[in-house]
Amino acid sequence: MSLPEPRSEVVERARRGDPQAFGEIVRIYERMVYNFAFRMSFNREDAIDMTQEVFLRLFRNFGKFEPSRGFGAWFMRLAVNVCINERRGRTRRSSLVQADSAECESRPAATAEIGKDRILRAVADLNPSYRAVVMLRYIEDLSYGEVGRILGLPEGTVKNRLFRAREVLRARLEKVGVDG
Amino acid sequence: MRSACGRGSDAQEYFDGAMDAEKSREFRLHLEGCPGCRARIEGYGAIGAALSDLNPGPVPAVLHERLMGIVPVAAPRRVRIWAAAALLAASSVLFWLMFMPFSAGTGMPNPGDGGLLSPVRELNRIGGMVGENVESVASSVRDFAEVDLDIGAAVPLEGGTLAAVFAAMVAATAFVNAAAYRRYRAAARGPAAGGMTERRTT
Repeated sequence: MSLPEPRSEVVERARRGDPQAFGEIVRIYERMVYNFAFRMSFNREDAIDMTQEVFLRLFRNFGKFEPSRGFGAWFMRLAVNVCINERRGRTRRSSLVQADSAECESRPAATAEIGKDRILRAVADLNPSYRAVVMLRYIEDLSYGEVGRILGLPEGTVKNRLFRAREVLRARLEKVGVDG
Repeated sequence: MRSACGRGSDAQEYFDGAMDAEKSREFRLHLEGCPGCRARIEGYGAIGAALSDLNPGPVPAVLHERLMGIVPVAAPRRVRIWAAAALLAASSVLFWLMFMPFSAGTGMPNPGDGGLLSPVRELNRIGGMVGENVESVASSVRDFAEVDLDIGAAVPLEGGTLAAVFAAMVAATAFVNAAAYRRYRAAARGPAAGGMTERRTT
């Protein structure tokens, strides 16, 4: 999977405040941003707030976008930064999986559920910048290069960060007796 | 289980499909004899499976509405700001016309000049001229169309009328700004007037 990229003429019109063009950009990215926000916050209401904040920031900061750069990576960097900063500002992590795994659409079978809940809990306890790498790689299925473009990091740093995040997860899961 | 082979980073690249074909083939052979790397790759798979269960479903309708409402509300706001600025400028000109003393003949403000005209009287004079022009145009139309138009005498603009126009412009400016700000705040909160109460979707 790769980052969706709207036509440059649509981006330009949206940048000038054309509501239709902005609507098209909303339609292209809203699901991606909402999914990412949900996986960063583990909470539907927070995800709604974060997504709204991302698009408001887009509207306010559209003037800073340089058309010579790819819009998708620029916009997703803005989205990721908003989600990471919002996440750092909130302190609801403690009750996350109990409260919010119930919101997930598909629920795993009972035996596997305990293991998955523990994995999710471990992911939720990751530092937000590590979690962002994990989510972009796993859920959006982006390449190291694309994750790097979004986060403004070299590919090698992305690989390292992802590896460290996975090692942290494995160590935590081994501690609680889950095969991670 | 930790792999002691030191190829953890390769295991990650292999799992992520970021290895070229040849290296991939070589690593598969390594995997057959390395339980540590196999465990690591299984672990990566388990994390992915758990995360894929974390599915928030489709974008809630209330969120979609809010997002689609960001620009249609915000863009007219920009137009309204320009309209408000134009009204304000026009109001200022009127204010200046009403309260600055005019020098007779030149029409330029000249405080301290003994031959000043009352600004209101000067405006009445201008208004009278405009009225005369209107009457002249009406007369031409009447002659051309041979119809009996009753425009009446020239209606000079009076100081009181101008003051009323000025007050109306200031009020319109304030109203336009207040309406734009209200709409902007509502858009920031949500599409409904009490957007903050619409957050819960389940």
